[in-house]
Amino acid sequence: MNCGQVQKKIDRWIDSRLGEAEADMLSKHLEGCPACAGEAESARVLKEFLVEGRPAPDLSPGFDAAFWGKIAARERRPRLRMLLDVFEDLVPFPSVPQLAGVLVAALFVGATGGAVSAGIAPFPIESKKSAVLYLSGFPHFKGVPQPSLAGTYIEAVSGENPS
Amino acid sequence: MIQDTSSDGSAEEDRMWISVFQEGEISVFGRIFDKYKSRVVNIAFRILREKSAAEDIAQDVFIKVYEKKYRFDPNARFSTWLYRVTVNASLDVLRKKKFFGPSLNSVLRRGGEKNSSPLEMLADPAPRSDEKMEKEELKILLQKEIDGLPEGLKIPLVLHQFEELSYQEISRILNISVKAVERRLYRARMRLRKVLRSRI
Repeated sequence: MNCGQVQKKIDRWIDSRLGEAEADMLSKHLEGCPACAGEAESARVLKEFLVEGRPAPDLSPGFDAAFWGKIAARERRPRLRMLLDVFEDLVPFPSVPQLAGVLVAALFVGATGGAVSAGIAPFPIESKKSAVLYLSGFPHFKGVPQPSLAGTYIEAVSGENPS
Repeated sequence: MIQDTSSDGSAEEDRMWISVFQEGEISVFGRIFDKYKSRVVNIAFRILREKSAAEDIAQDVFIKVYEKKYRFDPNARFSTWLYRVTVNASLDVLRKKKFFGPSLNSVLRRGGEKNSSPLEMLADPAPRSDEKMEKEELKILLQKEIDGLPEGLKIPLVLHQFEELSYQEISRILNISVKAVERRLYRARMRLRKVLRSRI
């Protein structure tokens, strides 16, 4: 068994989870290798520390009472608030990436150019034009090949041929 | 002794309780609370290292369980979901603390808590032998090192070494593979052993 193999098996050896044959080989290696023996010692001390650290502080005496007090307070919320909370439970909340995707799409999709073109587009807004045309600064989206995904998209939302 | 909550029998019991709770039997929630409260507080404590903050987190987690019961799929493993919510809530607080710094309240509270400050441990006036002092210093050093581990290494270590959760349970909680759990535990232990080697 070489040092690399010993390093990987030391934790299991300390936990007595190695088979007998492997454990013997590892022990023999440690007898002749001060570096690995040092590693084994530090693994043993670490395990001792982690085991000693297991007991966590007991719960505070008033923990239960404080919790049930909070539950009771929430039960006293106005009925409308409780109903809204229940409704929120039943309706799946979109994840952040989903929400971000919807917002980005809303900025760029739409017959009237979306939210962005309404606020910041420097060019005159004509009806039924895609916001992409305005944000790009070109009256026509030059360089977009007709038989392309981008071209198909622009044609679909704006009714214009981008090439 | 904290009940082993990762066994199939325990999962079946949880499934039954959650189903009954979702049907409106509020009294069952008390059993769920009693079964898991210590474990939830412990997990939060290992991450935050503050007992009062850990208890606040635990109460918020159970309030979430109480109020969002319909969101939980009773066929899923309840303990996994509960621990995941606890880990995420604790990490949120930890990240806010790192960003904003400790609040005045937490600094004032810390004065009344045991084992919360390395300096308090060192300042214990009881006479100690050199060996005990060295052991205490080593403990402080190791705990500091664990606190400084990146989240990705710290959480599996805390869950496995302190909470004795299995690799499978940890992989479900963190939504990573079992191999990934093994690798992270290995890397975390290697870092801690490096610190020990420099002291032994």
